[in-house]
Amino acid sequence: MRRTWLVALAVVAAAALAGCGASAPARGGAGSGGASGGGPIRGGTAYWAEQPLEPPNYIFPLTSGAYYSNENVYDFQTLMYRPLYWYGNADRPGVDYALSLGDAPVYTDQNTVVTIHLKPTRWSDGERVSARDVIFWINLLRANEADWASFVPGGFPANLISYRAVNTSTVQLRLDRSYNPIWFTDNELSQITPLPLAWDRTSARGCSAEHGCPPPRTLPDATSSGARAVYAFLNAQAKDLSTYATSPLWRIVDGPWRLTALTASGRATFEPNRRYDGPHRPHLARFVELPFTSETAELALLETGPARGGGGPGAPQISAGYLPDTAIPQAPALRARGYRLAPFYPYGFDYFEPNFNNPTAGPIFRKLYFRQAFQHLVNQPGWIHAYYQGLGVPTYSPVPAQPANPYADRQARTNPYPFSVSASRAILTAHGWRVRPGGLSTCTHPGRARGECGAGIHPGQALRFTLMYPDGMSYTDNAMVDLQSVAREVGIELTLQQRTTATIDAEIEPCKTGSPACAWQLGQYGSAWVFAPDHYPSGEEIFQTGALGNVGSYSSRRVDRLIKATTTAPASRATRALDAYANAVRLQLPDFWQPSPGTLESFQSNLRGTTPNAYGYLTPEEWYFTR
Amino acid sequence: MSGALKGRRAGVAGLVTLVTLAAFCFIGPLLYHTDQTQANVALTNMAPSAAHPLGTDANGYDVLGRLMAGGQISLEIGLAVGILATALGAAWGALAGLTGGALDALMMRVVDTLLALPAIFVLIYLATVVQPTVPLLIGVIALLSWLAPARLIRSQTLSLRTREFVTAARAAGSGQARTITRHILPNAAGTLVVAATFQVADAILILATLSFLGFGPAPPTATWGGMLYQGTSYLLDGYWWEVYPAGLMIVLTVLALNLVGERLRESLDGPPGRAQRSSDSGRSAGAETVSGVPGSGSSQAAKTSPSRGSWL
Repeated sequence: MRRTWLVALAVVAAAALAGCGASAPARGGAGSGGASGGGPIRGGTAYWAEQPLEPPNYIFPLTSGAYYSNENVYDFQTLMYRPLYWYGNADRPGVDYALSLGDAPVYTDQNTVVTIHLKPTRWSDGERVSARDVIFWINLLRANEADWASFVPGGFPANLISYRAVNTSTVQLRLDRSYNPIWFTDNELSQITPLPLAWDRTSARGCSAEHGCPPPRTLPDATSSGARAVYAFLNAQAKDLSTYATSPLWRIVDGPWRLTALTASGRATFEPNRRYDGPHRPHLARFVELPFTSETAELALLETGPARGGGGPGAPQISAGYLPDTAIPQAPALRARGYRLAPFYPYGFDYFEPNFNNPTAGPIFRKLYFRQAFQHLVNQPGWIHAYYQGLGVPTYSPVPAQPANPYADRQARTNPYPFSVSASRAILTAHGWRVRPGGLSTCTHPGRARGECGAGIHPGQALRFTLMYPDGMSYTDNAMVDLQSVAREVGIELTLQQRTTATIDAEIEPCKTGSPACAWQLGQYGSAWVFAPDHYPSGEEIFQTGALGNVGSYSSRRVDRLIKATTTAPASRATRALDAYANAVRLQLPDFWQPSPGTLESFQSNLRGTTPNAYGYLTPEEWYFTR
Repeated sequence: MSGALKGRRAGVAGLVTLVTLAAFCFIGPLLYHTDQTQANVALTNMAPSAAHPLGTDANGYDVLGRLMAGGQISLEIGLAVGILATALGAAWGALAGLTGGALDALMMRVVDTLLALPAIFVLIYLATVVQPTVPLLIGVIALLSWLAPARLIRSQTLSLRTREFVTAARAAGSGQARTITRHILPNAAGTLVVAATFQVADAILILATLSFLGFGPAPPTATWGGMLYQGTSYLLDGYWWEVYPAGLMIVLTVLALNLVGERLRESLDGPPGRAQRSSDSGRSAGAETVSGVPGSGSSQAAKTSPSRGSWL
């Protein structure tokens, strides 16, 4: 499963407070955001606001689906365990090889062989981050792939014919066919996180290399059964939160930070990894993630805490936080207090799902004309203005145009189905529906011919649907109420169903027609699709037939072909393939597009180096206080 | 009942307030026309003005009109729950009290068990698994609210069943159902009415709580609690008109109902030291006479008169 739900979009945004590529004075940190001047201070403690009730709870960087979340991966694991390739060039999408453990991969033999050279970096126990560490991760994945959060049938590592460590610093992968090298790097190699061989054990007292035990070739992970046992052991260890700060396993890190404390409520304290030899060594003496029970509590602390920071630990303050969407009108007051505020938009898009397999609504949703008519009812500019406080970007394409990126073409900025009740009404009328504004529109011309409702739609069938969405987010509440209201103007009756996020996660899943799980009709996660850790905006995980992220069960042979082309085209034709896919999907509407909300981030006035990462990686190693 | 309230200013004030609120909610929309189903992104969060005396909310709905619409739902649900819960509780309590013995013990343990359930969590759980509708909310809140009336009526029945007119009726062959409906409940009518009054107030508060937590009737149905829920998101932004009017309506309604209920209870119990007056109220409640035995409320009513539920 390689879908990247941001359980709340704000999670990503908050996670992305830190600036990738904003090494203190080097890459615009001091200049990003203005406010006070003065030279950088070495040391100090920065406090970062976690999302309400979303503490980190999984440390092992081969994350199972049950634990995959922004809080665990981008706000926690990557501080300690670096991925092979780093994504987010400051606030621009794309790979940043300067911050990566590996050099740019080299594709040969018509893009069927990938050679990866690792830079000379070390784990905190003194061992080198080696090719074998990459092999270790792949071995564990191969033996336990169904448990992996990013598992895709036929995807990595099933698309490897072989893989080996050529030498200490070089890994070679042989692929089962020619792939688009940009796609393979951005969506497959981007998943890899080298693991220390000291973890290659099946029990706490297991043998490891440093104790004179078998050489790497015969370590437990070298066999499938051994790899399964190692994974089971590490997975079990990762579920014991009380040992995170003390376990000899998790203390071996190659990232800039090591965890020194984690409370039951989720307060995580990090200190710099003294042996870190990668780019951007921390300036701060300590980095603390603060748990909150509600957005209101976070805002209250923001409003009462000092607007300048850098002092010792313990002071109640938020160095880097966020304004809840309903508090955005208070931005001037916070600015007056001295906070620096900056909007953030992650690289992704927002949408809600029709269930194409619902026995009643599915036949209607499968008609492109209906999806077009319904999309005309989504008032994206109006929602952004009225409900997102202006802090949102419209979604017109699965390859979004914002933030600026090298993937989107010009079409991504134009809306093929602008808000228009009359256009919606006209489409329905032209396809055999008797439109009753304020009432219930019904199919009066069933049949498959032109001007008729289409296959599977019965005479007299009404446009009546349920729409499930998460409670507690005011902009979602308001937007769905507006949609319900507008839909009524063309005789579509929407019954709004507010549910908890957990309920929605459980209910909005791919299903087969006729199964009890297929009762849902329209669903809204209250979260956006963000391209991480699959950074290439191709659609194989959300729009391809059978993909786990394709929860609405959309299926189109044409779109499948176009998606496949984005993954297999040679580099010279990659852009053309991506454009063809994007333009087909934006018109086909496998989902209904809605605006992607941004987040207004807040920073203490003398905290710098906080340029947001486009994918949401948290990088406090780049933060520093000024005098 | 109006006689019982005579001269009692607070009770009269409560009654007047209730009547005014009912008129505001049910007659108001006939005079002040608003569209409470059509959202408007161009009119969101507007401050009070001539066009919108209490401003607009986050969806562009006119707040004054929404107060009326929300009040209708709140009062309808409150009234329905009050009647249903009191009826169910009265039947259960009377049967248990009149039968006595093992059945009484069993029935009251059922009550005790249900009282031990954290009702608000039950309601929230149900609201997450089924779509809350007005009839469903009425049914569910009533099912969780009949317990206090049941205990109350059972207690009063234990007293009434030893009275001569009940004994006479049973000796004359009156069955359980007839005894309950013709002799027990009419003599507990005053208590029932007071209990129902409090049940209405409680139901309105429960609905407001559920709506405030986001588990009320689905949009676009308006409720005062739902308005509060939405409005508190904007409280810090200074949009007072989205919070205080709805809050005020809830407070006024519940306060008025409590004042009325309290006066009714006092009229049944009588002022301190005059508990025997409760028998008068039993008659005024329409108690039946059987075989020449005058209907009799009971001085026991003073000990068993309704008290407020407290599970919220």
